[in-house]
Amino acid sequence: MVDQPMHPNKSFRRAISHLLTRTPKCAVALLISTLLASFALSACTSPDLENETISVYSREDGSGTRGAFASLFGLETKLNGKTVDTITPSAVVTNSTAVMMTSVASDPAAIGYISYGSLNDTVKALAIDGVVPTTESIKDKSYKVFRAFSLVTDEPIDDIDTADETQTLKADFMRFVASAEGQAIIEEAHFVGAVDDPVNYDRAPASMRPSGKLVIAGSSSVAGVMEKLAEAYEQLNPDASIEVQQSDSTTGIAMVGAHTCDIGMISRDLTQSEQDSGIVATPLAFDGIAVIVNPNLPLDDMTSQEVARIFSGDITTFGELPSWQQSVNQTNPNGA
Amino acid sequence: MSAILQSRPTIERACAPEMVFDATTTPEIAKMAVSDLNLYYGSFHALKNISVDFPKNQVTALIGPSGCGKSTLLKSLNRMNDLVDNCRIEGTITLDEQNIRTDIGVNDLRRRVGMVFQQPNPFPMSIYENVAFGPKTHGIKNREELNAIVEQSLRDAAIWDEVKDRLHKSALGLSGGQQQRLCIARALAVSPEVLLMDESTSALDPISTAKIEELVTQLKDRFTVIMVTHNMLQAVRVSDKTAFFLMGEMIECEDTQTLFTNPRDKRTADYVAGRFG
Amino acid sequence: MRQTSFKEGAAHVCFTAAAALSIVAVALICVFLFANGIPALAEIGLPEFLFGQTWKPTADEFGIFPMIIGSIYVTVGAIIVGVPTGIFTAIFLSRFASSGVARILRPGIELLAGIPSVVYGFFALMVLVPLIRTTLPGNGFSLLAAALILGIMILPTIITVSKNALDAVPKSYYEGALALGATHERAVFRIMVPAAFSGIMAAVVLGIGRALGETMAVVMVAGNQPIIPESIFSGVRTLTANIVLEMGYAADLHKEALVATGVVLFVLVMLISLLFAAIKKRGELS
Repeated sequence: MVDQPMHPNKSFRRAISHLLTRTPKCAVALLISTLLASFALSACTSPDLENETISVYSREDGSGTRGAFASLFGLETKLNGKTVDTITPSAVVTNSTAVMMTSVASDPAAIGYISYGSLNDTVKALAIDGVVPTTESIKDKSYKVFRAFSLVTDEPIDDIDTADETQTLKADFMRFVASAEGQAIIEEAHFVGAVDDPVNYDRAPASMRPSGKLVIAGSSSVAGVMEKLAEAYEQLNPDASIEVQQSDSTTGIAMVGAHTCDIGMISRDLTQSEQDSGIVATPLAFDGIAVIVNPNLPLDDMTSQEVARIFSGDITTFGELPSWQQSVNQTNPNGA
Repeated sequence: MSAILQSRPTIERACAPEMVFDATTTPEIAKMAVSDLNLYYGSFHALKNISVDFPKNQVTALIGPSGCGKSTLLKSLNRMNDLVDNCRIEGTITLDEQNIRTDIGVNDLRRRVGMVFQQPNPFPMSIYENVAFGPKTHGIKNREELNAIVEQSLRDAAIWDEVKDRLHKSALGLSGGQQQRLCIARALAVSPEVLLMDESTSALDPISTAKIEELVTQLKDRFTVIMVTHNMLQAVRVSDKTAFFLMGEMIECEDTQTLFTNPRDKRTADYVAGRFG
Repeated sequence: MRQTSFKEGAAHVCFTAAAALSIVAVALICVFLFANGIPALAEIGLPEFLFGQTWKPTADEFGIFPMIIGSIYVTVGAIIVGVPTGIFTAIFLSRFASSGVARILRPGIELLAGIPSVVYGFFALMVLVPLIRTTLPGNGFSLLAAALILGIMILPTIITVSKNALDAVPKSYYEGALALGATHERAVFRIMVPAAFSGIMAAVVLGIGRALGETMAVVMVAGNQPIIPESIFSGVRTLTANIVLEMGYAADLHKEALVATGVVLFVLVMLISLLFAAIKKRGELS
């Protein structure tokens, strides 16, 4: 009998060479070519979007963006006496704007929604009811899918007692936010300023500049631009220190009521009971909500009913959309 | 020692590879033969020009001080030295006149030349599975056949009565002496022709040692036994032929009686008298 | 003499303090979890919480059953992907690989262990999800994607612990098997691997624990739908994902319900640890 090698690596090599020589070579070749062919086929096949199931992407339950989207498209109902949204439970849940955009950009059959301020080239924003979302169309309210950011205080700004140091700071900051400089910062953050014809900020002379600490708490959607406003204000008034805490709109309102913060920031409207308790909202900016799809989708607009029906799970393929059928007829008037 | 020697039957044996025929000696056949063996661990010359015959159906003892190469020689006989990375061998070793490196497959060689180690090493399985491992390795699948082999091997190793009621319990629950006899049973289960014992009783108590020595004396009717031992008295008690090693060389190889009472070499005499080692 | 006994006393105090710190940390976590979670469980009702199939916190529906199922499915999937691969790699590294191959493989595995889970998640999002989307049903965000990436993530744990178990098997067993005429493969697979069984089981249990607790990578690719998945191509939400998705926005009972989810996770991981201890003890006994 032939001498057999005994070192571990030699016996392993022997096993491999055994496999390669004994197995019919044609079987191996067949296997490799099948694998290559299947990959090639899958890459070459253009997705048949008309009959492809739409991939619906949503934000998590409790996100301000989700709440605003649901309420603006009528996707709400009452359950157990509470208002809940009717976005389909089979929608993929992404927990940040960034992941939402990455997902929609890489999925040809995707549809999702983001704050208009975060829009970039990786995704396409649909026109809703014929109106394309732009800064102008949001400002003049022709693009109806937007929500209002507001600042809340426990009393109207004009009633603020200027004798109190923190109150002076609070009033001055509110003035800054409503000024041309403040509104410019808001526009830079891709929001639409709420103040028409803002005046320039009137900075107090050096000896009289406000000082102290201001705490602003509330919606995380607003927190980003609020931090920029705070930074700019601190540069102009070095003795002032502004702390921005992010949580959500409801918490912000509660903290204002409990005096654990000076100003609250919210991304929704005040409820009747909140107004009744003396909380006052001052509009800050408008945040459009863009309905986004993959840039390669051959569809540029939808009606708001179509959007609602897709997100509620009623319509599941692009082919069912009247807008789709219309646009297909436009590109192929003679029929494809 | 002389008392032990006198109690054993006197049979003349020859040590050299050539067979000597005359009226008073019976011709002996070499079961395994080593000729001009040189073994190197890297650059260390561990075995120098070893030539020795191991007669069939006899017990040959290999004695010598620590580090003299006797275990190394033993391990060469079943090619366990192949596991050592930088071990190089020159020369030939034959089993029934077939070269063990070129004419016999290594697994087949190890089936025919079994080994019992110094420390008992039963597998962490049941007693039954330990003994059945060898036959299963070599293709025996039939349950009844395996049962028969297991029982016979355990009987041959003189341990059947002690374990027959606990065959499916773990082998690790046995005492040291029992474990070693189990290892002997395990080696016997594959029907070897040669049994190598590498100081197999040095880790055991005197009673277990005595049992195993008695076993070896019975086994030699059917097997050829080659044993390495540190215990000279054991060699005297059990072996028919003894080879003395020193620093990698085989100094002398004689039938046991002659080597211990009338050695040819002074070094052998000194070792046997206990002046060193 | 007085000096040494003072030093010894001081050392003793240091070690005791360090040990106490670890115990205090664990105790604090337990206290936080149970103090905040148990009231929520009482208010929601334990059966409604554990077996309720609707998770809609805004409507006071707090059923985490789909998430429990999701965690179990994802962990089982990770085991199917990671355990056979891991064990065979460990056997290869321990008994078959030449030193050259081992020299490359071992640092490779250590590198795998050091990659942050967010990076794994990103890789899965960029590579696995589109691959599944183009070749298999569904949109890629699926149980399959989560199971695959988790399987890869638990590989280093399983490989290193299994390899240590295999290396610890006494060489005498191997030699004994070889001396009976067994081939190297037979000696490894019939004697060495079964001898290392309890160590390998411990490795698997550790892998399970890791898979159960993994959050970031799973959240990025599993789809996170709070419903029981219909197939491996549909999305799934795990207990850990449930916590991380909504913790930022939750208030009052919703927040406490998420802490209660943490309690459920804690109990599951405790059960796994007890299992691990039991296996280890059995290994030591035999």
